[in-house]
Amino acid sequence: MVKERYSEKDLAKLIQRVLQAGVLLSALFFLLGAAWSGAPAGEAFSRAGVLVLLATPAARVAALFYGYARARQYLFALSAFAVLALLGAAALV
Amino acid sequence: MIELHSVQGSLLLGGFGVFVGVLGSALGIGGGVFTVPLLTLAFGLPIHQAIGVSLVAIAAASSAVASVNVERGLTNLRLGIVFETTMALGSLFSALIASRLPGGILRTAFALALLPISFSMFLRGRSALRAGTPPDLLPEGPASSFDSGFFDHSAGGRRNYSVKNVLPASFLSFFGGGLSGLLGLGGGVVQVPVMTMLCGVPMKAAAATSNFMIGVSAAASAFIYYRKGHIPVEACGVMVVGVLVGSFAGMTLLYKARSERLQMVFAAAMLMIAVKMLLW
Repeated sequence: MVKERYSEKDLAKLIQRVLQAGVLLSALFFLLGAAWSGAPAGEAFSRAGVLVLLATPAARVAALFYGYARARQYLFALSAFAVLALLGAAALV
Repeated sequence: MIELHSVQGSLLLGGFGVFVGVLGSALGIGGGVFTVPLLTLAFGLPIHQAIGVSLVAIAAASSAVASVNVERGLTNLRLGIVFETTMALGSLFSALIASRLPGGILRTAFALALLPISFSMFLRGRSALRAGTPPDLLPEGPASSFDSGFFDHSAGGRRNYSVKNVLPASFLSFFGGGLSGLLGLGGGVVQVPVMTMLCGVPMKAAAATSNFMIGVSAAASAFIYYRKGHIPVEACGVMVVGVLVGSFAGMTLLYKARSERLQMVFAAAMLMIAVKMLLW
């Protein structure tokens, strides 16, 4: 049997996992940050929380690029790539 | 003025987070126009830090809400990624020419343009509410690859819709992205009316899709603020907790309320944004 093509449902599942992982991980860092509030360790944990939170939308654009490329919907893959490139520019320039 | 690290300070900051979470999940806007001045007033935060915290909160609301909405089919992923692209290009373009544009005039013109759109959104929502919801908005004309549908709890059934005018909407989204960058708005206040009024997307799906998009633009700007050291990270933690609470409250509202009613509430919020921009 031929394997079915990568579907819109698969993509939604992937996006959902990426977003949930990002939000939960950053919430965990923020909780650790609150636990050591006032200490340098707390500051570091909170910093990690912010960074994970800000990386999450970028990760889900990357996931969209991957998903649309696999589903061979190249117009949407190209869109995602363009957004990713602009995000990269904002983060680095 | 309230001390940021006191108990009252944390409660108030968490409260602002709830506000951002509800706005983001139920209406698809970031609410920076209100949060930023309130943060500066309440805590005496410098404006850059207030914007930084607000951006982080918007990114948090976007990711938290979208993680549920995407699976429920409320977020129109294809429409989202296309408008994200034009919006990002618009803000990049405006960042390049920002210094040559008359900020004050643009701000007034933008706020004035919001007024009639807000009234017409309100009236259309009201007349649709009186007419009763059509069970299915599919399809007049050829199907496009942007067409989608979701299960609408308030209507008790699946609501399919076809998406019109994607090309002109992309242009508007480009200008919207540009203007938002210049005026310090997240862009939701442009994207939601474009999707509902021009593309024919039901308000619920428009709010979910807009909320999905503004996370990316907020994160992009927040990176720049972070690198300049404008983000007080511990304050962000407190606010994000509030955002998560508000997001889930707002999501319940999003699922239960009728699209038309949400549209009327959105129109009211839009009017408040316009008035606020005209006055200050």
